[in-house]
Amino acid sequence: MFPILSVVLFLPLLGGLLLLAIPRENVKTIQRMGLIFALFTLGLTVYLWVAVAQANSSQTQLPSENHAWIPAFAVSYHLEADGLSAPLVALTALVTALALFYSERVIEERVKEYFFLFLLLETSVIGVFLARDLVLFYVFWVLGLLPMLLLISVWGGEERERAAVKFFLYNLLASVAMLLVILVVFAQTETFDMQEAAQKRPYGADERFVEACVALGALFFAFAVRLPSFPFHTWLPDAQSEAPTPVSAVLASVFLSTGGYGLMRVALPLFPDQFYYLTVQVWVLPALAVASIVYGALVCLAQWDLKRLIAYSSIVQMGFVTLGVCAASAGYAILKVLPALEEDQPVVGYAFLELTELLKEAPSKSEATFNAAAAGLGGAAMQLFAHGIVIAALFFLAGVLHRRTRTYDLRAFGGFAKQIPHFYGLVLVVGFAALGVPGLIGFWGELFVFKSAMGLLPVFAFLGALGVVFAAGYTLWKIVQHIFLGQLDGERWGGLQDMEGWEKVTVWPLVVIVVVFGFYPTLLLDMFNTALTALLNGLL
Amino acid sequence: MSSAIIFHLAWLIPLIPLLVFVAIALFAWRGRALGRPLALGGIAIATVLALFAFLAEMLMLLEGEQGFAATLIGGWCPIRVHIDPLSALMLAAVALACTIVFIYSLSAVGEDIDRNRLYAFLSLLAAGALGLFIFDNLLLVFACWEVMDVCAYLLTGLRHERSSARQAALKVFLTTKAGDLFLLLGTALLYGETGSLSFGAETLGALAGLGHLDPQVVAVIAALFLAGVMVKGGQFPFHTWLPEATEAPAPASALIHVTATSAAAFLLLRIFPLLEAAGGLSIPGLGLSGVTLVGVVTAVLATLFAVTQRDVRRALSFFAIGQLGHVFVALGMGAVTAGVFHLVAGIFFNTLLFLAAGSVTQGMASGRAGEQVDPNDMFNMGGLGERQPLTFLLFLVGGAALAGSPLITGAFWSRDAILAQAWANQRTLFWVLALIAAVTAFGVMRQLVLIFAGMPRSRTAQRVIESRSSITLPLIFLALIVAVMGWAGTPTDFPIGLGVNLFETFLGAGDVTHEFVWEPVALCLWSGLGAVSLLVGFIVYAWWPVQVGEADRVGSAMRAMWLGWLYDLLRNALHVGGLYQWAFKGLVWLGRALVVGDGVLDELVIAAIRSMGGGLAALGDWVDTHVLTPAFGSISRVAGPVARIADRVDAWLGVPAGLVSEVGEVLARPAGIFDTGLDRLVILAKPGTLALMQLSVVVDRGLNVVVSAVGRAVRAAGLCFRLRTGRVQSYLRMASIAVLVLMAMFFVFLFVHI
Repeated sequence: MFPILSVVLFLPLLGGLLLLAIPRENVKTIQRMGLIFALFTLGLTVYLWVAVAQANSSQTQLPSENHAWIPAFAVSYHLEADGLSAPLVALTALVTALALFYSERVIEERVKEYFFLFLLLETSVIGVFLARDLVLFYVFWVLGLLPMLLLISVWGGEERERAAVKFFLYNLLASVAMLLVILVVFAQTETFDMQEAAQKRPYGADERFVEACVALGALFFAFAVRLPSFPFHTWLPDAQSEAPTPVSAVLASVFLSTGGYGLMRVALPLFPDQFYYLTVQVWVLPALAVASIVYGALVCLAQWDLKRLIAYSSIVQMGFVTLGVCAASAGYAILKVLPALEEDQPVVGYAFLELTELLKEAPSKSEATFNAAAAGLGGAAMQLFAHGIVIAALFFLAGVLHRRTRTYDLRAFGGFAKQIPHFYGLVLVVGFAALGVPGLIGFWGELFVFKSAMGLLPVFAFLGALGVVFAAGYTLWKIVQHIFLGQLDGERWGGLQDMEGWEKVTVWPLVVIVVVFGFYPTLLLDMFNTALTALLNGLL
Repeated sequence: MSSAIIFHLAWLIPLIPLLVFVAIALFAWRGRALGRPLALGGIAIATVLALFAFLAEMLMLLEGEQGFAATLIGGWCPIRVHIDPLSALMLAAVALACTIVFIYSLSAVGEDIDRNRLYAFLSLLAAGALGLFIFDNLLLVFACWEVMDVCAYLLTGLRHERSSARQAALKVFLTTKAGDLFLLLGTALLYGETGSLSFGAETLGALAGLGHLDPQVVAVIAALFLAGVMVKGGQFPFHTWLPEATEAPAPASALIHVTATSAAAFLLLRIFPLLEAAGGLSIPGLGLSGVTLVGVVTAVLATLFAVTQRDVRRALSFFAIGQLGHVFVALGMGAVTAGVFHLVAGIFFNTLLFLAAGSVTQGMASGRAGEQVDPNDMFNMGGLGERQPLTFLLFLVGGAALAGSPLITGAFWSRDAILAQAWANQRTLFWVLALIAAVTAFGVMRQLVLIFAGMPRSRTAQRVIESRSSITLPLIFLALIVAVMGWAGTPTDFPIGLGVNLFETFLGAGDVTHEFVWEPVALCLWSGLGAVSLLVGFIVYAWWPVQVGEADRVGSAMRAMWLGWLYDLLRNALHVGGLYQWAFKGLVWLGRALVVGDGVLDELVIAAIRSMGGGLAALGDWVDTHVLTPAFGSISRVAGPVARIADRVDAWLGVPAGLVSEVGEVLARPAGIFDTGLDRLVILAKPGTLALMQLSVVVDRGLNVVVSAVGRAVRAAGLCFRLRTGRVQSYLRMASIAVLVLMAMFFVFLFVHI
């Protein structure tokens, strides 16, 4: 069988290595080669998407590769692409390709190293999405840190070192926590394979529940730093502020997606009982989700720096992802706990707590609850994808503005609507997409997360809805009103030019995806739902 | 059947304006003339289709069939079309109103507006409104609902050079977005609980009635939907956004008001089974359903607000809200026909009033010529009756409808239907509504006199001329509809009339309706009260003409009675708008505080990392001074003799070492031969080897570059790894201690679990 997954995974890296052989004076060659490799990877990821879709519909096996890598430590080289991974891999390839295209005009020094690091980053992120072995996952997870660190600290703005170090140390700390938990899982289940470990369920017995919750807490911490979730988000605004535009776009859309993905792929299947305990009984996790949404939105309302505002809006959207996963785990709680209780079986975590009313009356609604849980996960995945597209578009557009105005200060702008109407139109579409206006991609994730959360975690759904209103506030007031409406400062901005061709080429594909998947999300929803329903079934 | 075809094409009705929007957005954005014919053509076609649908529905009813339902696209989110008498009626009425608004907007807006943008957004608004009426899919309805809100924002902010328009647009969107969220949460809950997206009466009623849904859940869903409908319809306490939306150009604000009120009432009717299952959300002890309560409170407050406004547009907006309140009262009492009748009447007379007011304000704006007056302030007008006679007549017709004058049958019979219902069921409600009818009549007379009668109170008003016929002609058509409409809804036993209530017959089948029974006493009472207040209004405002700069007489009278505070409260709509603004400012302030908090959190993290590093470094230091140095120190004391021993061992080893080197030399010779041979082979394969050599050089160079780049970068970054301990060794120690700790933990875990 053709190892499509390994090819997709290592093609960018191969391209990067080949790039290094080109003399540094041939900048054009380097750029073109980098872009060619990125585009090839994009083509392959689209092919992979189609292959996975076909495998899903015809119920055949998904593309996967499994070889023993370090048999002495039971580490295998196990890659697989399912409905959850394939769209995210395609997202990675798309945004990287667009960012490389944008970088051609924007990055002028040390181009070779830049392109190499970018392609290395792409490989590491694709590796995170495709890996099904915990050590492999971890290797790719940590591998992504170095190129991002260098990209920020070498090509960034004025305070780049501080931001880069904060980014690196924070994420490294989170990775160490993940490593510890992986080792713990190995100690419990004697395997590093994700599916096997999930089946064997680390901490299956009841006695060491507290220990298990600590393990989940550490794992959640690891993913929460990457998501980013309140209160572990403080590295992001600085990193985004200092990074150059294409790096910001990739950081926000691709790099951050790995956090949400890890939550769904690793944290939930390995520790579902502890997850629901921290969701339904102690409600730490949904509280953090809602805090991300509301806190993030309020802080956005007070921002005057455009890039920081967009960075904080990332935090808001990721809060919805967390909320969706929490709702799914609440559904799992209902589905798993109650039948066990009815048959008088011991239930993990039950010895420590009183059942809530919610759990007590649910047994008659098992199918509805399953659908609600699936909707929660599906909504979270949709939101992850939608955020990836929208935030990349927002950062590119912010970069377009910065190239002309040399500042991100919202107070300096005003009245640009008539001066640069094409830009205005694109910002409006993307801004409304971020708000979840129907007809655009952001609506579906929001809808399904709410559909799930209203039934399973109603209080948190209401609080999350508040965040949406605040989001409308900061998008329209700060972004649209301050940049585009009002009086134009003729002296300062009279000569502003509208978007150039290459800038349009960078942003329009994203806008088209926003509209197409907004109207016709089935392609995406089916992929996610198949994979996530299988994941949920694996939990039960 | 020919009628069936039109129903199968019903989905074109919202689609065509949507396509017009897309076409204008993509091809006709800046100043090109294509926008005008596209927009007008689009809405005209949609209206024709809507009218056909309406006629077809009537035909169907005559043949005894009820409605039309079909699934266009199946799947988990089915696009289902459902047309029953109510939706056919709404389609026809709203589409007609849209067409008139479009015709008006062709010539009536000022030069400072980008026409194409106006047409595009108006088309999108029409598409959303019309789509709302035909789709039987919760999500699609919600999508149309929210698209209408986006359009309201875009239209209100059309003249965004003005800060009042910018702020109004923001307020409009934030308020309607909050309403959308109520609706979204309700929809999400309903969808989640039932798994069905259909909300036709059969489905909802069945679900709600058969106890499949927990009553508490039903109540929550009903409350959420009601809240969403209240926001959309501008009911108290969400009444601020519609008056703010009058910042939009006149045709836009007319359409916003008409579509918002119709959408609100329509959705309310659709979810009626839910409301009934929730016990009508009635407040115990008051004997009123929640809907009626909302309606009557709004009717009272909005009408009172309306008579205190100086801005003609805001006054009309409040009147429109108040009339929707009347509709809610009727619906809450179960008098669906009366409510819908009044709603449809309201669509037409509100459009008429808004557009006629637009004609007035346009006249004022063009007559301004440098004078700094607010063209919307009625106290700057006066005497426009002579200058704009046709507009005056049109405004008079609309105003008479609003005031419930018997001559303008449209709104008269619809109002009477509601009041008759109230008379029959709840006398107190009747008296409240009758008094409000009186206040409305007073307010209408006030407006008419202030604008059209007396002498002009400003030079601008003196210069006003009649609007073009392209503006007034469509309004004449509208006025005729308003005047004549009522004949379709006269009560069956009224002596003069058709003898049959067409409205009731049309709407009657299937829905909860009460027959419109004529109550002559009630009729005389409320219309008498209305007539008296018209007279009172005339006396107050017209007997002694209002002078330039004079304050509102009602206000002055109230101040004289020490009720000035009440007047100011009413004029500011109970300061609810101010409350929202205050809340928004509070949120921003909270945001600012959280930004500071975020910075603190950040510093905490940095301090934690720093202290961790510093702590480890200090630990390393301590280990260095107290453990390792003494250890090495004592080691060094041992080192001397050890070194001597090592020397001797070395010398002793030297012998075999020499042997080893000799063996090595011996082996080296054949290796050398082998090596030279290899060399010769390589040279023989010269071209290939040259290439290989080149490649290896290149790879070598490349590796060099990578290594040096990484090194440089690490060095550049390495500057910041300094955690201010100043010791490189302490890093190493820190690292080694960390690794030791990790390994220890790993082994501990391993041992614990084996």
